[in-house]
Amino acid sequence: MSKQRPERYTFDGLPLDEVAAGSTLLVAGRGRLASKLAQRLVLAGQTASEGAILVSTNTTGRALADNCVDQSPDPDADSLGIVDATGRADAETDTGARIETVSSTADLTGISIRFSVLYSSLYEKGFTRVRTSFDSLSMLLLYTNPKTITRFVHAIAGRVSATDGFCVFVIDPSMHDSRIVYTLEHLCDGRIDVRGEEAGDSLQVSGLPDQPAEWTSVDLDP
Amino acid sequence: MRNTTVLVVDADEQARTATVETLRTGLESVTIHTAESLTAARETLDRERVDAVVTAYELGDGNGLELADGLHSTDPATGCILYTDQTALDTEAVPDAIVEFVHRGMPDAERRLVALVEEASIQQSHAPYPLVDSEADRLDAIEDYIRDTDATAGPLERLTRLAAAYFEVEVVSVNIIKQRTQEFLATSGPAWPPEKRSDSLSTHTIVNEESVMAVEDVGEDPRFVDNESLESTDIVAYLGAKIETPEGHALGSLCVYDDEPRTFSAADKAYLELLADLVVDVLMLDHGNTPEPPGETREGRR
Repeated sequence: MSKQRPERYTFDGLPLDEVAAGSTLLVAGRGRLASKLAQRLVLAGQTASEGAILVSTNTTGRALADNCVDQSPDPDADSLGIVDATGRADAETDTGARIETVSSTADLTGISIRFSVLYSSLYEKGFTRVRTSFDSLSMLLLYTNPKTITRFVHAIAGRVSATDGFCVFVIDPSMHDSRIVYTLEHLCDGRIDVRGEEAGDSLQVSGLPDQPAEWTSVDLDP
Repeated sequence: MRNTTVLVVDADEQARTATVETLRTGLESVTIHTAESLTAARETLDRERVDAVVTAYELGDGNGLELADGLHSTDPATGCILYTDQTALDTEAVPDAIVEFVHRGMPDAERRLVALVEEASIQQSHAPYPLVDSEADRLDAIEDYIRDTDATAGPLERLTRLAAAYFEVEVVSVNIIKQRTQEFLATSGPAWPPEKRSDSLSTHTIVNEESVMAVEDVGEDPRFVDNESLESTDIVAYLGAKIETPEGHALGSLCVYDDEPRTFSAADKAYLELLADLVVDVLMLDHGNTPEPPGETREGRR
């Protein structure tokens, strides 16, 4: 009997087709746009069997948890885990979300371990599929060298692939040498670029089949 | 069937034995080494190449994160999984020791451990460098195409001397990128020993979007910052053309090295690409295949 293919990931309210389980994507854009899109990719379309992990170097755990609960029409804080990698240890929340903290954004060991802890914790609660956002690689690259970041992305993508998860890494390409961005992009299964203009925000996808290859309007503030 | 080699490190003999049993049961073909301390683990790693390390946290004479940190320096592509029921871990002391973590006491921990070892060893998921999508097929192609190096040495060396004359450099080499190392099939200069794949320029050439990768000054390229191996050489500028089989597998690259910054023209790149195609022809003849007919281009092969 052949092994059943895992269900693909869907994204409510976004102009994106389904993505295969086990995929890792690079979300590239300037300012807050890429962060917003990454958060939507993780939280939109989340099913009852899916957990979500948000790893942030920019927004504290408390602020993220409050924001997620405020934005969701039917918040299930039990399905949410947060790694606060800001170094500010602002993790007190009554939302019910589990928040892990690291003492410094430079502590990639701590980030990778706390991510694993949350991943396991969600599995124990019955969330056998996990969506993850790492926001952002740009900040991590300020603290450590590209080779270490390459290992980090590779290891996370490996876990996501092994567990049929879904993961996005946020980066602002304008902050980095294009050769570094290319190397990191190569570690992922595809790339979504997002931009904002007066007429509105738009995205385009490369490296994945059946996705909008041309700039396509997107509403990141539904 | 590919064999996986794992080092299991745990100061607790009972726990160590249990982990060994978990891996023997879960992995189809596995060789397991064991160590009871940080020192013993490092001694084993000096002697044996392993695909993955599964380590407890407390090791008596150190901890598992220190082991992982050292491992990343000596064998960067080896995956490390922290398998422990401890949660108070001093990660600040070793901030770059990126590890997988499996809490020993959690339900399904054993299955998760086996899955992560498989991922680390087969997919090299802890490597600090990019891999091609079909890395396993590429490695098989190397086994297939690189057979009788004595028979190909003469023709390949002559090709490197042709390139050295054209580019007016001392060193041109034919490099093969194996699973963990870069090895040299031929060179116009002095023979070099194999080096770590993580330190090699050609590691990036084989995943480059275009067939030829140029680095005008390695000191200015952020991909090669803190590369002690490169810093110990005279290499400043680099031009590498993929050595790609008709099936599309990049075995390695034909490389030009200069000892000062240099810009390479489109004609330079085209010439090196042509010579790289000749390298493939030599390998194909040795492989028992017929090289592409005249006029057939790399693009045409695709």
